[in-house]
Amino acid sequence: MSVRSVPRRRVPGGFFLDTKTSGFTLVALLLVLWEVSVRTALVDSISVPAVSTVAERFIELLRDGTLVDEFAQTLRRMFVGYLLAAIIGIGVGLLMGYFDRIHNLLEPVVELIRPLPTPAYIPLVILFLGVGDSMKIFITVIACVWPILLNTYSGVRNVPRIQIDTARTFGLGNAAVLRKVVVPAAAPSVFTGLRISLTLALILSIIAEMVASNNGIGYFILFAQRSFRVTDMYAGIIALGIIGYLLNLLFVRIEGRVLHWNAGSGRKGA
Amino acid sequence: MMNWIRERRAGYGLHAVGVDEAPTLRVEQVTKQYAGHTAKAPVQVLAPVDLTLEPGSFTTILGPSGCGKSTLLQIMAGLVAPTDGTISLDGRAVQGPQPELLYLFQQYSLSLFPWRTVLQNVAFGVESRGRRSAETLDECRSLIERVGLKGYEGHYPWQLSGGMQQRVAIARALVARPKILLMDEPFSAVDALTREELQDELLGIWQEYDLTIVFVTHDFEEAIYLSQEIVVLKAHPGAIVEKRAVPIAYPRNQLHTRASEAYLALRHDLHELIFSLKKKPGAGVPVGAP
Repeated sequence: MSVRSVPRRRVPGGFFLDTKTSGFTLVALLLVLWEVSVRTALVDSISVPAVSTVAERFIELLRDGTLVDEFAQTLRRMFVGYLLAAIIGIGVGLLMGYFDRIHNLLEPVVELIRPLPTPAYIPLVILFLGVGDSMKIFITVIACVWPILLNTYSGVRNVPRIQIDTARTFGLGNAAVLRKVVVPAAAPSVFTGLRISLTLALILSIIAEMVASNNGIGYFILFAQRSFRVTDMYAGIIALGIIGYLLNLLFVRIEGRVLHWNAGSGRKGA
Repeated sequence: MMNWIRERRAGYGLHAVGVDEAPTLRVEQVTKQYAGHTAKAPVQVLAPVDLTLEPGSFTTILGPSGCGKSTLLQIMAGLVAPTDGTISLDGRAVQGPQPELLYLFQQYSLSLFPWRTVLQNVAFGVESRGRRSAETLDECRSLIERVGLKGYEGHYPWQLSGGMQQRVAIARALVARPKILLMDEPFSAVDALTREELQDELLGIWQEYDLTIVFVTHDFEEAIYLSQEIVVLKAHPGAIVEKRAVPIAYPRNQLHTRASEAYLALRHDLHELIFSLKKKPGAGVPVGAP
């Protein structure tokens, strides 16, 4: 954030420090450091191949379709789980926020189940669902549903009373108030939950694949390590990083489009 | 005062038709108690209140803060249920919000929907009545123009000043074609100049749309300037202590009206009355206390 109302005297390096040029340069420097330390045998090249070697292998794996296939598996399961979690989380969150009786009924269950770290369920879920897709999707759903549910709930609870009363003075019934006022007013909070869960969805998909799978990028990374294909492992990790970054970018774009009205009002002070 | 109303309506020929006429709003023996926070006994906010609002009248409920005037208005709007007593429209007892009535909130900036533009906010007034169409959108546009916001249709509420937000809230209310407008200190948060502008616009709208207006304020000058009748409430518990007709003809003028003898005399009386009410000791009196 460079807030400058008064033009500053140009100093050498001003452009470099005032933009992200410095940050990208740091990344480049770290990569060079990596490359050099491997080449000069400062670090063991068996556990750390040179960055150029990794990049080469990455492109190979991209060309022959390996990465695409593995990611197709991972992302397919991840999105099914994420979508189910969104439907359940938003639905139940809205109902709990809007109807006190549903809140009273479900809140204790939610608070009892939620604190358990999701990976702890994996052995149990394998007992019931086996090691196939349904297990991984189920694990993703369990992890993702809580942030969405709780943020939706608190979003609904924080809808200004006056907006609901305004709608009532115009003669709106319960269902119409929910649709026309509560849902749009709670949307920013719902999106906060969706963003947290998007990260969780990727994490849990990878963990589930590492525990029990024969495809997917998590399986690919673990299997590469176990069969001493260290360069493949690094290529997989880097690909995962890129995918995570792109997913977040896509999410921010969608959020910005849906909540365009919120750009000025909600984050005025931010 | 009643003569004046009759004359005005006779002039429009409305009393003969009676179709578009506002219903008579009657408040009968309305009380309100809230469960006390510290005291075990409930707190009486409103002692039995009786009030009749004739079609086309402009009445102000005046009182110090905490006298229950907002509660009374919310009871009339159907937003708060009275502990006892009835609200009726033309003799028909009603509960809950009624289509003939619209309540305007004091915190207008919160009552506008931030995800809707000015036009969409105003359109809410027709959507809710299930009449959104191309014609009603034109109606919304002309009302936006009527309240002086032409060119701001696509703006979001946070892009507007407080006075402009209040105008949007008024346009949204008018488009729903209410007969009775209940306004809770609508101009208390805007600057003095904007307040005078809004007061005059409100009087214009009142006459143009033939509305019944019930206006709540703690500002007795505003009460005199706007209304035909002033109902003074005291606090603990809220009860009507006086009803005063305002013997000043319309149209009123910010300079001349406020300098007129009738205005000054009434201002003097109300000033004394309000301050005498404030001096009286008054903690919340629990029900049943001696």
